[in-house]
Amino acid sequence: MGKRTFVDFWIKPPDVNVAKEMCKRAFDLGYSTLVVEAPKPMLEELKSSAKEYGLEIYSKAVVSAKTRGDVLKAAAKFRHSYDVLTVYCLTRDAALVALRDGRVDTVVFRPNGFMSFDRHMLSVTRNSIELTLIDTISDRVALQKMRSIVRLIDMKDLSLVFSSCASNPVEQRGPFDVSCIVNVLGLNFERSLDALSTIPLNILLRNRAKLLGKMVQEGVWLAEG
Amino acid sequence: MLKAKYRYVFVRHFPRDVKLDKSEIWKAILSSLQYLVGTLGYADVNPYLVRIQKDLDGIVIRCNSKQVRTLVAAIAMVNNVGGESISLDVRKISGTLKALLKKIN
Repeated sequence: MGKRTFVDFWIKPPDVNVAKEMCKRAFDLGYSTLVVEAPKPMLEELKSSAKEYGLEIYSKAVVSAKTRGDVLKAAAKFRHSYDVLTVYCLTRDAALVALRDGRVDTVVFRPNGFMSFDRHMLSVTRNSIELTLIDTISDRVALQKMRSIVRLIDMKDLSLVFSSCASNPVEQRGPFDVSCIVNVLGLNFERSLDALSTIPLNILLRNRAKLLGKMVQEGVWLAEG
Repeated sequence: MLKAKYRYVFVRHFPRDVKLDKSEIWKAILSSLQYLVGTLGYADVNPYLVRIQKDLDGIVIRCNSKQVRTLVAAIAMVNNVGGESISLDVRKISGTLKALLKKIN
């Protein structure tokens, strides 16, 4: 088996200088791809400096959704301009739509929003579920809820993406350290590593191909010749 | 009687320019570990701060070899030591102290 490449699926630097520091830190920690939530001009500036470290940068839109309509509007608005679309659900209604909409990549569960799972939600889930390191570290009550979500993910074989959601270099951790945390939360170690490498990488490759027009539909690729 | 197997973990803080007392880092790790896995889990990990004569810019922790991932998780979850916002990075893990020191140097 080849060496894994790791992805930090969500960083949100406040400005370009901090973003550059975060790129350096990510490189030191062993990441090869970063997904950044930032305005477009900042992303362009960041891409050139990330090349120094051999990092690949992808853009991400994170949308808070209270109603079903919010999710649908966001999916129509952002899908074609960002590499990744993540929905942060504040209600169960929004979560139900976001979990099954094909245009949404991940649904993030955070302590201030809606953070529980039921049988109906499990049965409609099609997209990956995203949990963040920053909530694990800073919110000790959320840790218990995360444990129950991770156990359900393990039981029902759903896909999990674990990102840092860091806004400065101090909040970033190495991929091995993060997968150990996911492992302790209840997922087996191989799947914990997948949550930082295979699953996010597949999402990124698929979306990039769609944006470049190389993928016509799910599973239908244009042949190069 | 079976011989206990250990792993030695080398931990360094980030940012490097923050001056911290090693005992404070150790206390933060123990508290994080206790919170994460409780007292029984803590006993399984069996953490021990290895005191080394050489002046290292980090700390070496010994733990039960089967529970090394739990210790690493607890280390990664530390975000504040002595009022300073920092992160602790696991730089190296080894089966013997001699090999670990060789890898660090």
